[in-house]
Amino acid sequence: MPLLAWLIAHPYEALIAAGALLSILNGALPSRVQRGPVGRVLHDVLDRLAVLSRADARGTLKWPGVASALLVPPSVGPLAPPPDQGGYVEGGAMLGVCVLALAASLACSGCPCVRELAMRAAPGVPDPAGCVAGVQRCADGVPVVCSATGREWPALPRSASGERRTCAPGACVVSDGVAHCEAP
Amino acid sequence: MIALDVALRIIRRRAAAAGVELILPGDPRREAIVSLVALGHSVQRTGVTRARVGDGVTITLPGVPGPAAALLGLIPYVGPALAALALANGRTSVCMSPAALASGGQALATWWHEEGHVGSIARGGLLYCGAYLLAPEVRAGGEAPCYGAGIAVRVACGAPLDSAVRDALDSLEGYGLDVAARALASGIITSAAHTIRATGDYGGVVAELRAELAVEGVIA
Repeated sequence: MPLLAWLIAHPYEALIAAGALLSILNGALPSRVQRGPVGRVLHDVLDRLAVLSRADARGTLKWPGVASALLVPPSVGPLAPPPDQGGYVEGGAMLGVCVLALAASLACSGCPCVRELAMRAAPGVPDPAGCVAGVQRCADGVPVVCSATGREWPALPRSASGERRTCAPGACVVSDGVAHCEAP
Repeated sequence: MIALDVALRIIRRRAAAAGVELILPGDPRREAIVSLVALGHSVQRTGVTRARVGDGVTITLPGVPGPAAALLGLIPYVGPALAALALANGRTSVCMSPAALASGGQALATWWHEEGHVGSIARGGLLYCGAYLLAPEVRAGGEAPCYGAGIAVRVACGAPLDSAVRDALDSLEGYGLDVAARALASGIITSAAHTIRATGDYGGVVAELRAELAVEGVIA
């Protein structure tokens, strides 16, 4: 009766004491306790309420042996998902993505070599002609303007089929440094 | 003055002849494209807002083969619509803006501008599009002649040449061109203005316009 009276008079202290007892009890139990029918209940309830984890549980915080919990890694490493499961990435594909991302970032940061490579690879982009930037002339009946990279860009658009438009039936002439079409 | 419905008939006819998918304002696919283009402007901090893209940007997109279209589908939010767009028989798509359809003349000027891009894509494919995205010089050399086509159509519809040239040069400011690329674009526009003034045409663009208007009975 004196104990009951103390518990009623000191509810917070009673809860702390109950928690301490519960933790000591949980810490004294081995991990395999969860295999039995009673142990499963203990595991589900006791282990979640207790501050202390089981003495033989690895990778968990133990008190007072905190250091061992930090130093002993879990025995089983992360498992790779099978190829048919979402989230699976092949190493080669990931490398390809990284290379593309690197190329894109180089290009976006203004790397001239990447731009030049892209221009040389693209059909329809003129090859470098060694011309002087800004100079205009006629080439195959089309006015062209020289760019900073020495390419002669036509000053007429393509038709929808991809054919280059020309000055025909007129002719291309250069006057005052400007190449343009003249009527026939 | 060319009525908008006449212009749209001409545009639809030419799109069909070129094998191009025409996307008009109100199409959900345009929303996906606008979102993607606005995202690009946002990343590059060009200052171009989504509202401006939604109202004023007409864009030509290349047809994409199946596997690449599947990759497009992985892009969050806009991916499925883009994949559906790309799978439109792998055809090049022209996505017209509301501003482009403000009048019949504007619609035709925009269409002939985009036809130039359709031709560049027909010639250069996805590699050309990649170079266009990467290199300001390709954007300048690709866009300026297309703006020249738009100038030619606007002038044929009655707009003053100087005003059309000024508008084109202003618009070219929105393509992230460096000094060298801007000089290239300016040189091409100067050449185009001389050609239009001297011949009243621009490599056959105006002749094609007149032929289409004759089919519609607008001119004899």
